[in-house]
Amino acid sequence: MVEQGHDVDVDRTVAATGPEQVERPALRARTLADRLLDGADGILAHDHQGVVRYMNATALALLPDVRVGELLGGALDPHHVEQPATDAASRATEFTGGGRRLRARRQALPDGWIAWYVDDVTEQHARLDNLLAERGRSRFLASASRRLGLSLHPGRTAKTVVDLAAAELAHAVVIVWPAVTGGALEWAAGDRGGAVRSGRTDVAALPEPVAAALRGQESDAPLLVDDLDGAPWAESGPWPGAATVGAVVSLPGNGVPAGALVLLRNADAVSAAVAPAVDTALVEEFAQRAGIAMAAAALYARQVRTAGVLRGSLLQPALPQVPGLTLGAAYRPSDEGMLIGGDFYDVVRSSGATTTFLLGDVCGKGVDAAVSTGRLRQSVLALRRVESDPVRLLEMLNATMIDASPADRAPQFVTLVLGTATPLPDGGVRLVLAGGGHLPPLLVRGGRVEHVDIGGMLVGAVPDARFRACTVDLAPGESCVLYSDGVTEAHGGLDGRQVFGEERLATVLAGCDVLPAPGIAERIAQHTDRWLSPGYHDDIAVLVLQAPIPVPRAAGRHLHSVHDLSVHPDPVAPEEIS
Amino acid sequence: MTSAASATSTPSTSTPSTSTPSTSAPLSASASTEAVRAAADEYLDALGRGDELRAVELVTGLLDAGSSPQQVLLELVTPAQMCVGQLWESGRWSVAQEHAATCIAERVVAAVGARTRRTGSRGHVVLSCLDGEWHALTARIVGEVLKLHDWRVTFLGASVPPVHLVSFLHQHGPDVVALSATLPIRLPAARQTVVAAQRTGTPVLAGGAGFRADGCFARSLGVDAWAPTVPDAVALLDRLPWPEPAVPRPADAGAEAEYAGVRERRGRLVVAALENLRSGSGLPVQLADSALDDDLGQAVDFLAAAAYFGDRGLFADHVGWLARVSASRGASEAALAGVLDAFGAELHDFPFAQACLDAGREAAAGRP
Repeated sequence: MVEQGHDVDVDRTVAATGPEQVERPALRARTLADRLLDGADGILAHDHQGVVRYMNATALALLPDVRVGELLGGALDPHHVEQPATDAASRATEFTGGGRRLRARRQALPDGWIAWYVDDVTEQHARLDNLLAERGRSRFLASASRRLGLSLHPGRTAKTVVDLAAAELAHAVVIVWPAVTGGALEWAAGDRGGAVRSGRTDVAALPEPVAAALRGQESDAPLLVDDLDGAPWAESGPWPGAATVGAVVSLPGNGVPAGALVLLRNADAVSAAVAPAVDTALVEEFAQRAGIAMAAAALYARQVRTAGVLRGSLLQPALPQVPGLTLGAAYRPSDEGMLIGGDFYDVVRSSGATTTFLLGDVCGKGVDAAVSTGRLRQSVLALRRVESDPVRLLEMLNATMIDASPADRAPQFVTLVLGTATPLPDGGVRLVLAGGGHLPPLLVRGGRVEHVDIGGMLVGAVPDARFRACTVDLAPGESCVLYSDGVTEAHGGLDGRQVFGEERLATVLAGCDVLPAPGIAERIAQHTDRWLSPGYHDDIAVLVLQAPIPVPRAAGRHLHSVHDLSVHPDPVAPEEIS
Repeated sequence: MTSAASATSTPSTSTPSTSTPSTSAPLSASASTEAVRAAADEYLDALGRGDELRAVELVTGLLDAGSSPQQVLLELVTPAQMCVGQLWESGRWSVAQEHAATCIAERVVAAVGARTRRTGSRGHVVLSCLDGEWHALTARIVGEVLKLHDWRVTFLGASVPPVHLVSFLHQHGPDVVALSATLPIRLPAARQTVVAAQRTGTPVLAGGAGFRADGCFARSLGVDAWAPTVPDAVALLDRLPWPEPAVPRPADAGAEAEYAGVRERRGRLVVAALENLRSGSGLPVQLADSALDDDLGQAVDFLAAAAYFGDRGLFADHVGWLARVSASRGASEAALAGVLDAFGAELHDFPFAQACLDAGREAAAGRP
């Protein structure tokens, strides 16, 4: 390779320098081969001792610190480079020299000489870095789009915003948004990998830039701030360093900002030159997505609140505590998300010993039917103030419903059992049951199950409907079960087409004489539920009235007085254990 | 088949380490344990007689004397409920008696809860039984214990429809949803519920015997965390936020097809088994209060779940349990074998279900 040639061009580098400790290579003229090689990638060769014996022009430019005739040092030092590997990839090495990123490939030559082919890959790296950064941004925004908007709860959405932003955009993140009620503000804050904390505040307590972002500033671009002292979330730290610098950005919503996002960066951790460099475009893109999600959640929360208030009056009531009477109920409306339907029950304690109860079924389902049940329960509440006899009550209710039904629409009728319960001195209960075309109540007496056929016509259908009543005495431990047709007409069974039927219900109740009323109600719900084919089902309501079960006393044990704990869990409304 | 045994085998009583201080003068740990143990027989007796007042009185007495609420719940109420299940299983108690005892235990738990006032400052946990899961007592106890550890707890009750649960999550945005399953047969359908809950950004904690002793079914469903015991649940909640759960291994396509196939043939299988019982010499196995076809239907559900999770031991365990329960009620061994044969004849093209049935036959024969 380093043949003596005829060319008289002298190698300038070799001529100019040369350490004394190594054998000084002879000056030589540049050959044609050298000239050809000058146009190629960088080429460098050293001998078995590590002395550089050849460099082409490109290598000279790329490695200004390396001289021909000197020992090769730095990244290509033969004493540090590992023995030649067999595969091409591991024979290559990358290093930085003179501010450039270089890649060198090693090639063994005869006599222990080694050649290095050196490439400048700086541009290639920059392109790759840009590509990766762009991919990272896309991935971040894609994951933001995927995760935002999954929940419709403002607090939960805010936590997702904080999680996402803290992982990518800042060391710590705060989001502030208007609460659904009361004009207050809520905030959630968190740092990378940490738990999200939250709280409530009001506008007066916010640093001005944040308040401005919530009011809606002129630009959507992030506003760089360096003074957020006294912010309400500051005490909930620890935050990354006292001196945080940040950016505040308004989250675009439906006309008004859906919230404000505060991105905090640790001034200690980032050099001053880098600190304010927020990726503005990325933050804006993210703020768009976060704003849409927060605005949707706020809208949903407001509607849920309105619906919740309206629905509250339509939920089945918690059962009262009545001395001398045990009550149980079960309710499963066909609209399982809303928990309201066309079946209803109610138990109202009077000032005296008598308790009024009712269970019925408005024709129709869902919200429309539920609204009718609300009106009806209200009517009974009012009418029982002037009339306690169940049959007279039904007649008044019938007239009220016909009066209230709009002339241009078919009357909305209802089937109903309405009655009174009065505890008896012997521990039993006297029931007066009046019927309005409803399924006959069942009595659980010991192991027997009996019908109470009351008869009576639909309520609210015709003006002069006739109703009847009958009186039943329950002995201690006996129960009366009122239920809606959602129980007996539940479609299911082995082929999915049979109805549950009264006979099966009677079988289920046959062993129930030792169960307290709530247990009986739950048992009916459980068996009906098991029977039902998956999919649609009718509203299901059960109300059980029971003369308390006499408890066999353990011999020789004195019963101390204890406070009355016969509180029945409300079978419908979610029970808050608090 | 109402089995309180399986309902309450979840909360282990072996780790009372996180018991909370009582409001009264605290007893020493050993004295308190002694007091709780001493009350056990009388408490069980009160449950057996349906004596709610006495049961509540015993428990409030223990609390007044300085036992911690958590200790009472996990060391008295829970073990007693396991006894109740065993008494029913062995045929000494009727199902109605067992049911009544469970009703009383629920009141006892409510009474313990009524005496504790905590801030609920740790965050909001929503507790729910899976759709079709009627064993609510365990979940109720878990709720009370979490409440003692300052969590705000909303209990949605037994058999919660997924629609109800998910709309609750959207409306209230709790920090965690805790799902309770006592029987594994509801788990295949619960996968969608888990996904829907996680999609709202709410992490899911699973607990209950239904997820198996090692929680393998919880992992299959892709929940965020699984707690074998109540104290474990408390400890897990202390460590929020949890890392992302591993993506569940996609179910074997063959197993999934068998699950769907067995579910689809549920009615036919039950009818075949009923016919076999009526024509054969075996006594009908009238197990519990519920109709026989309910019990047979549940056996099919276990078979389907075993196929879904690729776990034949699940079905074998259930058959073993059926064998014990029916033996204690005087049913012949041949009856159970007849049921398995009837299933087998209907499922001849289901290799995994056949393997499950074989394992079931061994389990049935292995016990008296």
